[in-house]
Amino acid sequence: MTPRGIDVRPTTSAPRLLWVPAALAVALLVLPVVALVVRADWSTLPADVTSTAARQALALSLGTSLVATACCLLLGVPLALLLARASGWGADVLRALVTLPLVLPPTVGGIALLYLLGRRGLVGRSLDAWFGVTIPFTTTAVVIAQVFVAMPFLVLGLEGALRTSGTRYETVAATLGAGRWTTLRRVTLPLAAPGLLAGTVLCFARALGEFGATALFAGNTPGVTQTMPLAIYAAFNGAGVTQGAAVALSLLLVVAAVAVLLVARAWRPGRMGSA
Amino acid sequence: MRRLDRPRRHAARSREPGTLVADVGVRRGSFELAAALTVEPGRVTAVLGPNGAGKSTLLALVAGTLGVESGHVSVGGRVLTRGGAGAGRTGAAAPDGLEPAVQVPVARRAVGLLGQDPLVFPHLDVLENVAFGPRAAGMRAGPAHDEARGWIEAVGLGTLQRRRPDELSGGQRQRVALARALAARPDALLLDEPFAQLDVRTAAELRDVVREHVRATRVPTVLVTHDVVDVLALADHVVVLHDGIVVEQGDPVTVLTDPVHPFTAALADLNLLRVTLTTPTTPAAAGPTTRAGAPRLLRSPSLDLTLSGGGMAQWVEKASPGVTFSTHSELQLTFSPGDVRIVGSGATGSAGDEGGGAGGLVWSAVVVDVERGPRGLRVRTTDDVLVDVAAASAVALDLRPGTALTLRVDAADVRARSV
Repeated sequence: MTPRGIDVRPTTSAPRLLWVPAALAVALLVLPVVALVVRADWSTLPADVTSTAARQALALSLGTSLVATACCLLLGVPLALLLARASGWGADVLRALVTLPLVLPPTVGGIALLYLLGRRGLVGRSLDAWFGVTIPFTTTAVVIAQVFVAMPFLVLGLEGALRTSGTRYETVAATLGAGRWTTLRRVTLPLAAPGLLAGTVLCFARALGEFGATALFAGNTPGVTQTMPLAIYAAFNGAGVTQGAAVALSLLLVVAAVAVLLVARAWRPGRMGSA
Repeated sequence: MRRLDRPRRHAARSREPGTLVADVGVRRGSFELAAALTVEPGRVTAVLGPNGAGKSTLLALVAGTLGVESGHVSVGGRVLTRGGAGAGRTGAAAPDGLEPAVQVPVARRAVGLLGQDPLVFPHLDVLENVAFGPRAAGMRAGPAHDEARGWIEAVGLGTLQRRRPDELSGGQRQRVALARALAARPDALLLDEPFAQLDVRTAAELRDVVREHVRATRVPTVLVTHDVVDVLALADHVVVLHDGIVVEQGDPVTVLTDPVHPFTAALADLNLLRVTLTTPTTPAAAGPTTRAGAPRLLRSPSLDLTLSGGGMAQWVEKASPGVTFSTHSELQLTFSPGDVRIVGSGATGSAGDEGGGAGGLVWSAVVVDVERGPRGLRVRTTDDVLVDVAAASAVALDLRPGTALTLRVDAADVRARSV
């Protein structure tokens, strides 16, 4: 006799009560975007999105975010590699310092960058005097601000992945005659590829959304330092444009962000080692 | 130009494999290892020992993931590690004239490693895994793949070249790891319990593959294991490590049939007893008297063994020719649990029929516990002497913990050696 009507769901599924807070979480994350879509003035939206200001801001945002992400990769990957293999209190302190931009309000980061690289800043003074280079309120400043706030996402993401994959495969590679660079290129980084990818995506997304540090350190000059978040803020505050334009620009940014996330999701690190 | 000074470019690999020599000393906390090994080309030396004996440390010293404080490791005369002047952090002033310390990096030692976990690179397919060593040595992809294909064939995975590791069984992964280690053309090979996680049949197949290729490539091989089967199937020589020192070594059959150390005896499934000779009353003249003067073997602290039937002097002489024993000399006895007979149990007390023709040892013991054994039940008795009992006869005996037993083992089944 086969028992009938018995619920055979796997017993490992999560408790049903969890659905309530989980649903609330989804609502909190998704409903604001829905509200944005509802609020949008669809008659003026095409014009708002294709306006010069919007196109300039979008191009600047994408461009600076890409450059900032590249800088984060160039500097952050080595830092993550060293941190992942370091131990002792020195490494702990370093790890805490790397996390600092995550917990600081970005505006504080902007002020700090001004005091470092501003014309009278700690380093900026010498840059100005010796090379005639001024950084604040330039596109370079936008990139630096983005690197400052976005780097921790890459470093922490990659470091976690490196720690998870451990050093056993690296030891095997060494016993097979692979030197340090070969091991790094063919074993360490490919094994950490998912973490590296996730870190890079987060890093890019954070750079794209960066507002506070940019506003203080780079200013709000259209075409030079006015990225999307700044353009949206300016539009929302009614600086010559309507709130409708702010909504339109916000939607554009949302679409851009979702597109980046989807592309990253679709691309799975595959046979990277078979160069 | 850097690659030219690498010790093992593939083009230059026609030289005969050399002998692996390790004579190493190292201290880690309270643990101290001082062991020596010599493995000739094409031979397998098994290192046996309980957990914590220093087996892994010994492998790490040869593989180069750990440095030595004293001694050296070399293969075919090429020094891979040498302690001495400036080595270690002991701070002891090195006498002048010592050769400088050497620690060749892992990547340049040409010492292959095959562990319990195959650690096949998960992001590479079988072909790329096996080609890893040749590519790391500077070979181009084409020739490296050709070479890898040969090794993949050799370990019997010819059709699986493009499989990814997660599509393979445990045994197949271990074969990939073996092919990968051999494709790197190591000067020495270290096997760290490589069969421990495989089922019996897969392990047997892989042992064959390993034996075949160690013989064919003539690579000197060190095998660390707990498993007697590994030793008997693969090893030419056995080294037993205990608390960081080599307690016995020799050819596998001798070591396992006539063990010196309790650990080896347990591994070989033999009882090992240490006894002190005593002769209670009469002087230890040649001919033992029949009654009160019968010589006895006394094992301190808790067993009293009596030699019945024949004279002890002859038995001792027979068991260990050329050695004369005097009163109070110490003997180490080994015998199989299967050769111990229960000649009396419970209230029946001491043996009544002990005076048979052949000599034998008789003693009283108590059951400690009973478990399943190779022939039915295995009874642990006083001083951890194991007794195998056929299931049928076990029913008649009342084998509960605490039951008194009289045990007998024929002198012919006992090996004795002086200590």
